[in-house]
Amino acid sequence: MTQESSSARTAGHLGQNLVILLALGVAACAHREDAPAQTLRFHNMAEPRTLDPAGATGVADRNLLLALSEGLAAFDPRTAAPVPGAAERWETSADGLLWTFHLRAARWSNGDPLTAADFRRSWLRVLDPATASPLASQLFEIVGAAEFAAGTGSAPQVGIEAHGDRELRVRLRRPMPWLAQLSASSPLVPVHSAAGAAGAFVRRERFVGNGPFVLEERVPNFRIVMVKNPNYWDAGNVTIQRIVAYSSESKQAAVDAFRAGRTDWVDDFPSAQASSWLGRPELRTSPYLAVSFLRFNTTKAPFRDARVRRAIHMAIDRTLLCERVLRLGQRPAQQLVPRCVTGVSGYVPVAGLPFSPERARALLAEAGFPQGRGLPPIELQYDTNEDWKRICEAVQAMLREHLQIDVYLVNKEKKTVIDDEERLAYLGMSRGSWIGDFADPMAFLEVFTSSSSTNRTGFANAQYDALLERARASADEPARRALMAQAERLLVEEELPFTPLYEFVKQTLVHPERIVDGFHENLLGMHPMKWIRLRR
Amino acid sequence: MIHHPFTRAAVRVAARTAGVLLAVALLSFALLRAAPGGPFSEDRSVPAAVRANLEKRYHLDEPLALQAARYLWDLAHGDLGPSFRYADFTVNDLLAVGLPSTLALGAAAMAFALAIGIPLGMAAAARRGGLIDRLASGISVAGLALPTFVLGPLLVAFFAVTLRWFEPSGLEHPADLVLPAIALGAGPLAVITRLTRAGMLDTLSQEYIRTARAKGLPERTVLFRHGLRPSLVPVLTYLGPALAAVLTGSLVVESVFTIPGIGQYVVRGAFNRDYPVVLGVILVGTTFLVVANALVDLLLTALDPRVRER
Repeated sequence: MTQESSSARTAGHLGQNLVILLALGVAACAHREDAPAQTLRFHNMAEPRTLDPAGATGVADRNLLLALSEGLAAFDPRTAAPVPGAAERWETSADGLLWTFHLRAARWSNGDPLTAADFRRSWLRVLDPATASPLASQLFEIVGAAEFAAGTGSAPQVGIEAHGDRELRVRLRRPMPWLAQLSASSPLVPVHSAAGAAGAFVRRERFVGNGPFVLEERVPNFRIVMVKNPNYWDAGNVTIQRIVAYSSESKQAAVDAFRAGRTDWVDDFPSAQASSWLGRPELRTSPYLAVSFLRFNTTKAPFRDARVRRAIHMAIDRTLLCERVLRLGQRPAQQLVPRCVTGVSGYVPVAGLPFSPERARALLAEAGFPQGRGLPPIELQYDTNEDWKRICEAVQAMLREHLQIDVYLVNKEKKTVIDDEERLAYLGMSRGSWIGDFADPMAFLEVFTSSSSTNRTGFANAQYDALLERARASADEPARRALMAQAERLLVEEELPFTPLYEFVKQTLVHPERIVDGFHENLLGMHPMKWIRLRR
Repeated sequence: MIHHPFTRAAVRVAARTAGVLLAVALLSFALLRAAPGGPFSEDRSVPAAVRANLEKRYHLDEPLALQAARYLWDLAHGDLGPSFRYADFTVNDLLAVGLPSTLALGAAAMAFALAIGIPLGMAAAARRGGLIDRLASGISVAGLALPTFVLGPLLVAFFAVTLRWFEPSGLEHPADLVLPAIALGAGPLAVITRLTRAGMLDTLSQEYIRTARAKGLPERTVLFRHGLRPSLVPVLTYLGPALAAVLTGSLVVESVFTIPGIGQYVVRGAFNRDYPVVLGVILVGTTFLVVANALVDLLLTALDPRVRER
């Protein structure tokens, strides 16, 4: 008896200790300083690949680079159209082949003057084969650029010339109406001459930029801290003092942090999560310059036959997909070029083939598969992602319903999907998407030329290639648009090496009481941070 | 007296570590390279010429055996190579930044598991079948049944999002370790509680405990001085496996809580085909595991004379 009660007392003490321990733990976190009022905290998706403009291919990279640097042009926060940046103005010759940028008097974050030579050196660096930049081909319309990048030419032969400190001339082989847009994008921001070899200049202590903010701290896979750059030419118009950009692969963590009030803005997150935000003031959705599609392997049966590809295309009810599955205002796409491109480029995408189960069945019968008979089960592969899974399941059900076709889904990890596509080793269809680098139809149409490494369908059509070549050579804008429309029609109304599904929306969460102005939705999903105003 | 066997043990540990590391390095290298795709397979396919330049820069164009030899040579010089995915950092950079966070998380999780598990197990044993015992067995079952990827988000949803006692993610303040440490330590806590309880019950049934009680020693002295030490032997033997559990668990917990440690690099690195990063983290983890197991062996020797005789 005594033994028992004594043990109980000991146990009671232990229990008390437990409670005290837990209480201490809670107390330890009760007092935390809140972020100062003019600190913008946001979730920037996955860790950026690099802060080297020549290697920065991701949206996260771009978001940061455009805060730390500024191209000749900059993006208008409302429309994403190019507005003066490091250059105060520019003009184009009548034939569209000579661009002249006039730089304003500006300085690097370390006080050095920013010159036309800095831009020339930085653009050449993107082309330099030693840099091995995946973005080099964006500049191939510049005289001598492709040759330099391929190792057959040299830097002095490239048509990028600095005249004095304040004038940069760019000579083109063929017109490039989107050059101003491109010059605002992250690959073409300047890199300071002290940057040195690849990678060495991105540490906090070495990063010298010309943007509204400078790098203060960088912890990989956690956060990047930037502070206002007093040497920026427009510093008087920048009210944010500090930016903390969190990076995390976990989108759930990003949404949780936002919900808990730790971040003011989440740049992107899965649409499955977004449905719980529908109708809330935090959720903002807007058309995004990106399109989702299913690639066909046109080198393998049954998709060697364009009729089968058209049949599949016409049996998918995209309206249903957008309204029931995606639900965030995504628009059905029967064409390749997203319709939001019109506002900036003037191009009106073609109509494409409509949803029509009857015509789809007729096409399938014509190809030798009446009621889907004789067709082996078709593989549809997708990379791991909740959204893709739901979309592919919907497509599977629609094809079964309308064409009596058996589709089986194969989920693979992303690099495996890409590898399968590059080797044309996938058996049937493969989910894909494309985000335009700039708001021009060419940014989409060129993906499916026979020489494009991102084509990955086996589709090669001389007529299509020729139409795009002619469009590229044309300095007459209406004629250029007509040629591109003709090419797009050939692509999505006859050949269909892929079946488009929908135009993306960009979904962001923005704290309405913290971010009070300067944050706009645009087709590039671009939110230049110098314009953002936080509550005072 | 202690010196001699200790030196011998240290040499044995070093040799074993080196052997295990070599085997793990080669095996992981082979497995990683067997995966389809490569570090430069992206949505935007890089043109063949650019890919050739990239592969040349990272020596990926060389025969595999040569690449493996190159890797081992650099490894012997303490260089774990570049990261393909995080082009601005070397693997050494990433480890230098991430390791302290992972160690802090692991230590906090182990401390949590031990600080709660041992007293709880003792209390449960001291009053078998009582309220605390039932609570302890409830906690054990929950700790074992709830995987970290379920427990973690639950903790976040309740303590961070609803109550706002803690931050939902990140590591900017020591208190940010509390939730991840609980998520990561829950499994080991469950085992430690059960082991302590079982050990204690076993000990308390021994003759010498009865003798101690018969002497009229206070219950506290009986429990802590005579009962505790032998009861902890099973707990100590479990520390090796516990460390392994914490190491592998941190892969998940670091992702759930966005802790900038090295655990997340294993999974991410594998998806990214970032061969050097995955290899680097695996090798560091292996080293810790082997060394920790050896330390546990030594500690056991010190604690229990019966082990020493074997």
